[in-house]
Amino acid sequence: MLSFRPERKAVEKSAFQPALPTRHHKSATRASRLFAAVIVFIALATGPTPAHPQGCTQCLDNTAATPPATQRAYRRAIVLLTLTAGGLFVATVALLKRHH
Amino acid sequence: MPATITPNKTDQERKRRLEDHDGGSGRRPPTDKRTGGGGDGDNWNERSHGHRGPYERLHRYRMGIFFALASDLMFFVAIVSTFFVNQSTGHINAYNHYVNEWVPTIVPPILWLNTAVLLLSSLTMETARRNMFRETDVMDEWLGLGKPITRRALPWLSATIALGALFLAGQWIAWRQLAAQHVFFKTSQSSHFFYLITGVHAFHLFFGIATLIAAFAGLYLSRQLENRQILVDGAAWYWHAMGVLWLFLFALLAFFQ
Repeated sequence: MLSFRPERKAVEKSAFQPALPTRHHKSATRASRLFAAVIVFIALATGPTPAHPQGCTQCLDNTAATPPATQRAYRRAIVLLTLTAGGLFVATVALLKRHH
Repeated sequence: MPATITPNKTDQERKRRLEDHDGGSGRRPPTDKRTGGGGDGDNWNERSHGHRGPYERLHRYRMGIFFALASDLMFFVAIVSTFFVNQSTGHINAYNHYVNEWVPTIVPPILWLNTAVLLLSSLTMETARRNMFRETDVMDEWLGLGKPITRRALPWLSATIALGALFLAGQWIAWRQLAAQHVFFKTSQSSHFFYLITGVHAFHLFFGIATLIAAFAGLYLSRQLENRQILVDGAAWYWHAMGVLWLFLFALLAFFQ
């Protein structure tokens, strides 16, 4: 005999399907993930104790033995290198994002 | 009873035609393989990997050149950093005095002319590069209607090669002028850096001229228009980078010694 009622199983299945995530739900997940990432970053940055390897103390001693003019020049050189490398990094990210 | 027309021949029997070449089985629908098919044959924005066109290929080569130049730039910046540190660093002499013996090396005046020549060569190179991408000429050459792109780009490319060679000759003359005044590589710290910086840059420019000659040869030998465009475009970007780098290095040598 023909029946136009949907199968009971189909009805029960649809009742238990998880609801689609709402916008509020999505932003809450994103915020909690960001919060977790920030906590992990702070923990990683501050957690490990400084190891004071031999190379670092040698570098420190050698630089401390140089006159102030040389130390100023070292500081300028470090800034130049850091800015160049940082600029290249930013340019790379920008170019890759543009062509993605 | 409404008048109805009962259609006859509703059974659409497909007649086999020899020119279909499908053995009577019918063809699958036409798909554009360049866009990956999958039913959305016209979606050029969602192409599958490996089915990229000339635009993507060109940009991939440009990115490769960018990464190579980035590491090269760090090399030059390392030399410049050493320059700054050496300039400010002295030593303790035999009388136990701390002395800084940095004596600036005067830049030979021909270097100004060389700089102008290099800037001009960048202009000619950019003209050659833009001529490779003129839309109507690209279409004509791609369709096989002559070689308008090659005809337009060749003179500018040749001019760039000539100006680049002129720049290198000028650098050689500058070194000879310094040698005539007994300023050599080992004479002083500043002369050491002068020869090092100009020498390393000249080596890179020599490599750039080799690339330009390869692009020139490619314009004749390469069969695909894409490859010709990529060769000239890549050589152009490298050339411009060397030009900008020279401006920076020349300013350092002329004003910051």
